[in-house]
Amino acid sequence: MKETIVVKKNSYFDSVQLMRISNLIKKEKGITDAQLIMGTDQNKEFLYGSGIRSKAVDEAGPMDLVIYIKAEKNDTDPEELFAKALKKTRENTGEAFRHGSLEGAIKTYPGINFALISVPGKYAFWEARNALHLGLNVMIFSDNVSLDEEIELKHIAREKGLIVMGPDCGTAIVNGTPLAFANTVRSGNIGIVSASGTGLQAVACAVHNLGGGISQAIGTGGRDLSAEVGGISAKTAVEALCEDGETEVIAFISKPPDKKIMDEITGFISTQKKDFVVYFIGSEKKGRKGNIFYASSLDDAARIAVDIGVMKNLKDETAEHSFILKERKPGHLRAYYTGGTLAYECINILAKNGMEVRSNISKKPDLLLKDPWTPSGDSVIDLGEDFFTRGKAHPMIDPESRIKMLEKEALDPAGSFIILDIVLGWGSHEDMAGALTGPLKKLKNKELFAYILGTPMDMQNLEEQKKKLAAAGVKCFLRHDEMIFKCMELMGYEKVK
Amino acid sequence: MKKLSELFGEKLFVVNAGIAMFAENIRKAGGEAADIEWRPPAKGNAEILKKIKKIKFGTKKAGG
Repeated sequence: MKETIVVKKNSYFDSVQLMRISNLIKKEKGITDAQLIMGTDQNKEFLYGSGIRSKAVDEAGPMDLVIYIKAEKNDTDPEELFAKALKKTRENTGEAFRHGSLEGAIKTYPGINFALISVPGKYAFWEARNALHLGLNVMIFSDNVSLDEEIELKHIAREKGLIVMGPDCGTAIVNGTPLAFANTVRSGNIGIVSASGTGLQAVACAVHNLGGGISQAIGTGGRDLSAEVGGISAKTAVEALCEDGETEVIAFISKPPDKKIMDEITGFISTQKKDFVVYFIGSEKKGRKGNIFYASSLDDAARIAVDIGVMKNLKDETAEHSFILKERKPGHLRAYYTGGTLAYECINILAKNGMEVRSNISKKPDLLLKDPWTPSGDSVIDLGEDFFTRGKAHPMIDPESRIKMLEKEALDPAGSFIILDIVLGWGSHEDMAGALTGPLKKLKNKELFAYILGTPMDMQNLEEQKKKLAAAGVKCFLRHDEMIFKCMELMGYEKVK
Repeated sequence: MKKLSELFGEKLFVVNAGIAMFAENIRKAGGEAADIEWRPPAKGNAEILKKIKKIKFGTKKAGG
């Protein structure tokens, strides 16, 4: 067995390209392992943690590509393997001609009217600033952009009448075009403004699945509604949707914002002619106040929006469900989410009904899991959190971290109720159900639940995904809240309203 | 330059800097996207970047 490490200086590749290339190399005969990373400190820590060390790795910088190969034979050439796999990925993806700069691309295509930026966070400010300078609306997918940089970019955009969605904006649909992780949904009269990525996806899909459609879905980034940023992008998005002739109802999704910003936003929308459905995840707001309808879950927000916008008949205001514990069945709950907002909503629903839930994203120090790889008691894990994604593609694309967790669950009798999210749509794994069925089938004597976030129009084929999961013994739901309610019932809770 | 409200209703043409899959997916969905062969500006040299920023964008904003 031979281990080789090669560092290619000034060779930048994104995490998805590296995942695809390393997957191809791993399939080569005689290769037992392949790790390809950019030499950031975080990524190098990941290699060191796996026992991979060399002087070349120590000296590698963030723009240097580190190739680690473990092979059965001694004559394996990592550079040759890399070149071959790179060529193949480029053939597979039909990679187009690439321009040297934003300016170069605009010179060739003067019709460019939007910039999508997912470069490393350290450089995202620069590219976004340049895009605004060139008069483009911008979406920043990148995380690790400083708060000061975000504030500066958003002020500049606001002065120009442009928007900066993000940073850390994972999804949007503008004029029917899917941006980053977005689902294929019907066009319609419901607009979405969301400070939460999976929240936006969940509401868009639920609207579609209830027969409605989306006009625009605008992400703002998670920090937009903080006191420091002041909700600049949310305000721009709401104003634009209020002016938009296609949009009749606007769904507004966020974790509870800063009080002053919440008052400003609700003050502004209460003066608008259009109806708003507002869901502040985890907040107790409910009922109707003028043109504002408060929702109790992501699915409830979609239901109210469709009732108002499509059915023109609101059946119920906030639909709330409460549970009491009758007799707790043996075994703990273990939820393994790829969508951060879904994990957050799950914790909130369970906590509201009296459950004490441990998590790697818990705000309560006594409930924060010390080791996110090791759940204890009832636990909800967000696998998209930084701890799991260092040097890796997001778990919506790369199932590795969840497979590892499910393999641990197979050996642990303590977890009896297992929850998963399966996020479909552009950007996500092309067959997540298929990737998980092997480990799922090894889970004996456990109740398995999956929330499928998607529509029948998504490229993964929703029905096929459902069938594969059902064959592995998983109960599938297209509503996130409904899945949690069903799980609670099986754990011994009884619905009281 | 198009304000966000003016952009609605127009066909989106995206310039993609970063994860190449995003541009691939836009094209697969029937949209238009151009790719950037992204490299860190000024080879990642923070001092040079600061100077370029000053020349290109001025110093109107704090930190700018």
